[in-house]
Amino acid sequence: MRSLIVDLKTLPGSKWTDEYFSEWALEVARLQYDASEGHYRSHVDMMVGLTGHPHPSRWESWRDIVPLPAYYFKRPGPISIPSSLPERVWTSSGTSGQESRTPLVTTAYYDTVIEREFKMFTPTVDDDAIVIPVIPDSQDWPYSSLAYMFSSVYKPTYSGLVQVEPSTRNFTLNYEDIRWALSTAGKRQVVLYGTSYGFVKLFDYLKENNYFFSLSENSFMIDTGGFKGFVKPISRGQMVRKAITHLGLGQDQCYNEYGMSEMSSQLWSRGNEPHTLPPWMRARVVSPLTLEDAERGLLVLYDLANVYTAMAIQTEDTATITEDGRVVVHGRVQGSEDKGCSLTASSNYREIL
Amino acid sequence: MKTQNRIYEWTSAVEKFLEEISPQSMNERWAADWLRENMTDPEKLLAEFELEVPRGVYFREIHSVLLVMPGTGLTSGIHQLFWFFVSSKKITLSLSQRDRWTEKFVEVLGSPRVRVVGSGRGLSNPDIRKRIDEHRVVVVSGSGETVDRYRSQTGTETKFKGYGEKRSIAVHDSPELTLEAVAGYGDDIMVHDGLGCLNTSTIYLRRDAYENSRESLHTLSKYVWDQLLELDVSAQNEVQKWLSGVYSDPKTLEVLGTLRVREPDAHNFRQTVGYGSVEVVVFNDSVEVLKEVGVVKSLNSSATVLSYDSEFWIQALLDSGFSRVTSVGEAQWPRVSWRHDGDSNFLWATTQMSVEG
Repeated sequence: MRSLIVDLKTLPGSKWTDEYFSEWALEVARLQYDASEGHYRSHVDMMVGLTGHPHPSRWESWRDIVPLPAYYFKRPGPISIPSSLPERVWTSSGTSGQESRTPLVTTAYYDTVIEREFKMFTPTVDDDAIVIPVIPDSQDWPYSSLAYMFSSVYKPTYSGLVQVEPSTRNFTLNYEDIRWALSTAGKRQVVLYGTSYGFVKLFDYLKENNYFFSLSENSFMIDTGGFKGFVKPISRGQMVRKAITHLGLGQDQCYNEYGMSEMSSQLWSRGNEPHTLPPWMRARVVSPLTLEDAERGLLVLYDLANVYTAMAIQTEDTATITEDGRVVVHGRVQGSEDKGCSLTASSNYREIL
Repeated sequence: MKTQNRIYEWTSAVEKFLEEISPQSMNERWAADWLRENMTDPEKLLAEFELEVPRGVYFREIHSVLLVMPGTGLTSGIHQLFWFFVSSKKITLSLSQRDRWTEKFVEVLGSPRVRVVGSGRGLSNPDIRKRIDEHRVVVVSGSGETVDRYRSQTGTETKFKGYGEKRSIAVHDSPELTLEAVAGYGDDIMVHDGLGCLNTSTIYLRRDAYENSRESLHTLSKYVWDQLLELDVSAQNEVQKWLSGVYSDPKTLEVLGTLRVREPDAHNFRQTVGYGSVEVVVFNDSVEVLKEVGVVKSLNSSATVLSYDSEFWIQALLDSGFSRVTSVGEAQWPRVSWRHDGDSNFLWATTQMSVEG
């Protein structure tokens, strides 16, 4: 008997053909529609009525699935499958104060794709590597999907590099301790991971104090999330250049993850390249009114690991898709609120600055 | 004499500007037509000026003015620039990038009295304050948030006027919705969309017209929908978000494209998001309409009226805070001297003298 979680865990990339992906996608999406008394059903009905898009019973391919806009996660009420006792609820506060909530009945699917994605897209970590977080541990940040993801994979070498104030949820980086950790690396592998915003702050600190490192060739960094309007945004190229300048990393040693708390799976890029999807995901760029392909539209992600909410999510990012199926994210659509995985982190930075 | 010269300077520049541009889209053609009709004839502008400044009234020239333009569309707020061009020594124009025509027009105008600066969007409050302090008069058009921000940074020595969010409506008090009216509503909704002071965002539709003219309503819906698809993805996203909020509302009778048809609901008034998002309110009698428009009096701006009893509606809408009433299809064609708060265009910022005898 087929099992989605087994497929997510073991099915080789070449087996995830469009046909096979569609089989699972239609099954999961229809389940979410049929089981739903919440936002997903209502939104699908609205879009079917507005656009003449096929009803779920007539969907034939993953491309027919109506995506749920991410802004619904800020509204009260269930998304799709009711869950009275979710194992986890990811939250992410927007600049308007509206909180996005993503309830997970179980983290099993999330755990599965995290494990597989890190194996697929990031280098292995040496036993004696120096692992430096630029984000709090999940225990201290239980509501952050991002903190959960990193804590599932990496164990910091030193404690106390990121300090959290539990009552306020604020955190700060101990720059001097991080600098010290970097300076002890020698030829050992160094792994840095965390929010893009945190990295900008770290690089600013290193620049102000004229610290330049030359980390080993198998070292790497992973940043994720955006800048959310809290600091002057920098381009991907600028981020990579800062890493080259201050850490001595090569372009290929800089990884970026595109994700959001509403999604279980992530997109990955290396250097300045477009983002690659794991094989159990698909992406489209659509007009939000017609749901037809659009040259410059909104990015829609189809993620089979999103079992308990909506497997198809309409983001508020504009994007284009390259000929080889990778995704170039251009940024937030004008008029929409800045948000993303690291927003919780950046909100808290703002409070302490 | 100075005023006349300035008006001639202005109209010559408008003519030259119109020669240099080549309007393509509906909005560009409309904006060009409005400029040609309203701002190329010096005699016409002089007549508007005399309406603004009654004979025998003299004013002291304004030393310096900062004009923060609405930036919602091509040349939106250009009439404001005209009024201060004829009455001020020095004008600083804070422009949105979206309004590329006004910047080009200022280049053509070539007046050393007018300089263009970027919008204040990325500026800090101290920078805004510094900008304001260089002027004696500040006029801000834009969202309520923008107006509040500038107001909070303006000292007591500076004269301030803010034109914030506005709302415009149509009253269709007739038993039928004809295709001719539909064409007019289409323009009133979509041309230069984003101008709350002009664009119709709510149509009050008599119940018999709603019931008798289904086809016309579908035609309007299709027209607006097709126009919306020409707009960028951010507009489409905003409309989708708005629709998702009203779709399941119990007051909603039906959703036709971007038209949400609903029952009157004076207790839960919500403005639409523009870009063709329209509330069609089905009413039985005028009391329902006036009750609803009365709760947002400060927002009310333009109205179109189609009724056998226009006089009744004009008076009632005036009492409800509207400062302008037009025929259907004319909402986007304001006269140069109209201001959406019904006040004067620039006299409020001047010291005046009445010369008598």
